[in-house]
Amino acid sequence: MPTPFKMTQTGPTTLHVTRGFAAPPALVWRAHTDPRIVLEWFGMPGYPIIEAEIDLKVGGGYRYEWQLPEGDIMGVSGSYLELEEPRKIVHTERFDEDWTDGETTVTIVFHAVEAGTRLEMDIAYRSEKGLKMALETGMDEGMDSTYTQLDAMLDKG
Amino acid sequence: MKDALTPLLAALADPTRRAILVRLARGEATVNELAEAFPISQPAVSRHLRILTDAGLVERSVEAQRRPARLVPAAFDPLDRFTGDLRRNFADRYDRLDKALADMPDTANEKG
Repeated sequence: MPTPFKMTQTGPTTLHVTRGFAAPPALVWRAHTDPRIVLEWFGMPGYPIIEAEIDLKVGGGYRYEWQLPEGDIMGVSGSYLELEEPRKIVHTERFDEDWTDGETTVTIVFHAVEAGTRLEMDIAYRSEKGLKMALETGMDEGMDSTYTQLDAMLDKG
Repeated sequence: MKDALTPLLAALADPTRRAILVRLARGEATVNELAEAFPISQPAVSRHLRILTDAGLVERSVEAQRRPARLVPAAFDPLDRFTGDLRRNFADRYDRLDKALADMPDTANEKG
């Protein structure tokens, strides 16, 4: 049974993600690096991915775009720092709208395991603020905590 | 490409504007009422309301004398759902990756 999804904060500016897949590293690598396959799975809940361009070489760039409502799009771009097929990818990542206080560096390793592949990813944010911004769990929760704090302030005076 | 998110983020970046939104979440308010609720002047309130209105977060009704401001709740939607829950985004994507991998040729042959 492949390892289930797990995301943990490993330091003030780093997140770690683990997930197992019932496929060998070569296929998981291909799913991450072939734009035709990226288009099949790299959407966000409710926001389909509509564009994937990959120049798969060290120093090469990539760009993905997702469809937002009302004709808007959201994009992300970056470049490859390391490529070791089928084991390791290191790339930078920056969204068109800066959610993360600057560029992040993403390191993905595809470990061969009996069940197939265990993916281990490290995301390094440029700052603690960047990581906090990335983890904001949506405006509902963000605003809820803002409401709570401000209610307390307003009640006082 | 329309940029819906930069004005939204800029509008929310100011703590006074966020406080005004909290107040409006309880019900509409006029410039006078907001200036009384916060330690800021009426012109400052008007300026903040203009920024919030431009960002689509607040609307001003056109009652002749009062023009109260009210929240436009739907305005939060694009920002909310796009930045919403990194965990959920990843988890969801990897579920789809399971399916994409299963659809790729040679999964059964190369496994093990």
